[in-house]
Amino acid sequence: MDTHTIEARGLGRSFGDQVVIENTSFTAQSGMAVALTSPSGSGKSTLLSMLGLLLTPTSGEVLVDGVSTKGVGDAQLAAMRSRTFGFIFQHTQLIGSLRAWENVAVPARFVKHPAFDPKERSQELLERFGLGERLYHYPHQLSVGQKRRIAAARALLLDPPILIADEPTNDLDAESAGSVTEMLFQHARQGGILLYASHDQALVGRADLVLRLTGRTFTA
Amino acid sequence: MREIILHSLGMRKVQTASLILSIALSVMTLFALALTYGGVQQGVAMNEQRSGAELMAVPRGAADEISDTSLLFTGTPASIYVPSSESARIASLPGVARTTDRFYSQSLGGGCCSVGGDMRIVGVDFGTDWTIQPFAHVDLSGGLGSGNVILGSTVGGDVGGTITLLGRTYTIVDKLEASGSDLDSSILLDIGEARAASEASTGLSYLWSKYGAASDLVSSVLIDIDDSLDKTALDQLENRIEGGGTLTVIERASAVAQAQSSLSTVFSILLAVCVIMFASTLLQLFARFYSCVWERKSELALYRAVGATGRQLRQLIGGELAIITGLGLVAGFAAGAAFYTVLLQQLQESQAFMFIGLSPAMVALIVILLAAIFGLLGIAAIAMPFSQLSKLDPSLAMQQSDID
Repeated sequence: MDTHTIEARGLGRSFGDQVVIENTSFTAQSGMAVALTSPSGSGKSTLLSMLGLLLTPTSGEVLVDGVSTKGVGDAQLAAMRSRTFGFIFQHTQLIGSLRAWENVAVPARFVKHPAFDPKERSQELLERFGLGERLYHYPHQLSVGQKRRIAAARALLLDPPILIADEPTNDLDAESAGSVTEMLFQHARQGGILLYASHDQALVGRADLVLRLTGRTFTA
Repeated sequence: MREIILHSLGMRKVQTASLILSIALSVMTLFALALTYGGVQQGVAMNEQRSGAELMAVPRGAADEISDTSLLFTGTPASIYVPSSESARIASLPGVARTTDRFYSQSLGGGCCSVGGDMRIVGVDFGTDWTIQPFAHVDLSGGLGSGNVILGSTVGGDVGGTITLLGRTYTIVDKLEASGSDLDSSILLDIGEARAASEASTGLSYLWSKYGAASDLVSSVLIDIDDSLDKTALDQLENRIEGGGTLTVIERASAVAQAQSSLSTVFSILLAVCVIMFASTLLQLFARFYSCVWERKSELALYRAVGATGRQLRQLIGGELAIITGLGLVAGFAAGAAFYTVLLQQLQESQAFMFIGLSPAMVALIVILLAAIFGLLGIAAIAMPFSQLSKLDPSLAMQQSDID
């Protein structure tokens, strides 16, 4: 995997008059795991959204591989999201009417010419996560841990350099949490960047960089 | 992309099927109506362009039995006759510019002798007639000759071939262009030949014992009047024509107006139904796509988060619309073609009118126009959902729960 960086420079976000985050800066490079920790509802998901180019900051900017994303158009932002980021959402965001492998393959549907067969790649990832027997199951037929692993497989489908995970072990039993955590850190060990939000202090403790909320600013 | 579109349609099978059906019904009605209305307009235009007689005098008994429009437009072979001296009397009346006689008869089916089969024979006085020539390809001023026959456009047989009528064999010398009237299903002979063949037929002999020798009978007299005749003079002329008590007069203009008026009512009702169906379809499409975008916010936000552009989301919704509209159009045109056949048949049974089916090019044009109209209808229906899509916040994916 090539070397990548992501930098938050004076990042802030307000919703109307309410300032949620202000003046947050940090840099992460390939191979790093960065943890965000703060009380619930204090802005971790908002910061992850801005870092993943899902939400436009009201101040500051995000630089990906040294390039500012400020003022970038919709199509280019979409391309950067597709090429650069994999998301594991707090709620798995699986589509109930799609089978497990189809859910994993969703990101490939919006890539013009994927370099792989989406079905084969989905199956390969699900087998890697121990879900080879669940390819054709629908989300309602699966446990929370299995769904979380499917969401993780979906995040990795396009082999993104940066993985963003929001409370990845929430509601999981110890075994499932261990499996998902192992997958996340393996991504960082293989040269990716892992950005994750968590309340789990053990998980936070494994990060190379921990950002904690002080006032409205995340600092190391 | 295609898989997602098909999946989304499959997920909402009932809604999708109901929308396709709704579009198909609208298209079916509009298509059938357009074909029928176009055919009627073309028939009227053709007959006005190739102006027939202004008045038609028919035996009073025929007018009692058959409607004016049937007599005028369809040439229904009323087997009721008057002496040919009536024709000479009419020709001599002041205000009459020219007249020509018709003699109606029937071919008799090989196995039976019943009068009133599909093959009607019209004896035409080609020496004086001015109504047939505009539809013919050969010069008729010298008459047909006793061994020749002209076929209406829908009668089977080819020019140069032969046809046997009332036991006599004739050569087909021409096939008329479509007129939109029952002239199209008639067989035309010289009036003298039609009389002679009919008189010689044993199957028709009961008619001649009732009305006298066929050689001295006419079935109708077509009349053109002087241009200078005003309404009062025309009324007086009609009275004089009918004066003997054996004839009644049909005015072409009023009969055309009567037919058009009846058809206009039918078309107006059908058009109103179409407009209501059209509006209903528009509302359904709008409701479907508006609620669809609203209900699928989480799903669409997820797509945005994993790399879909706003344009791709619009393609997604537009693709669904295109498939629904496309299937509705195909089903609608197929059903419309069938409905057209039924509608035309029903109309023709209840009202005689001139009808010329539209050319393939015109039908294709109507198909293209309707497809374009429904395409625009669809675009109008998704304009607002599209604007919703452009405001869709991809960070919703970070907040929402699983997607049903």
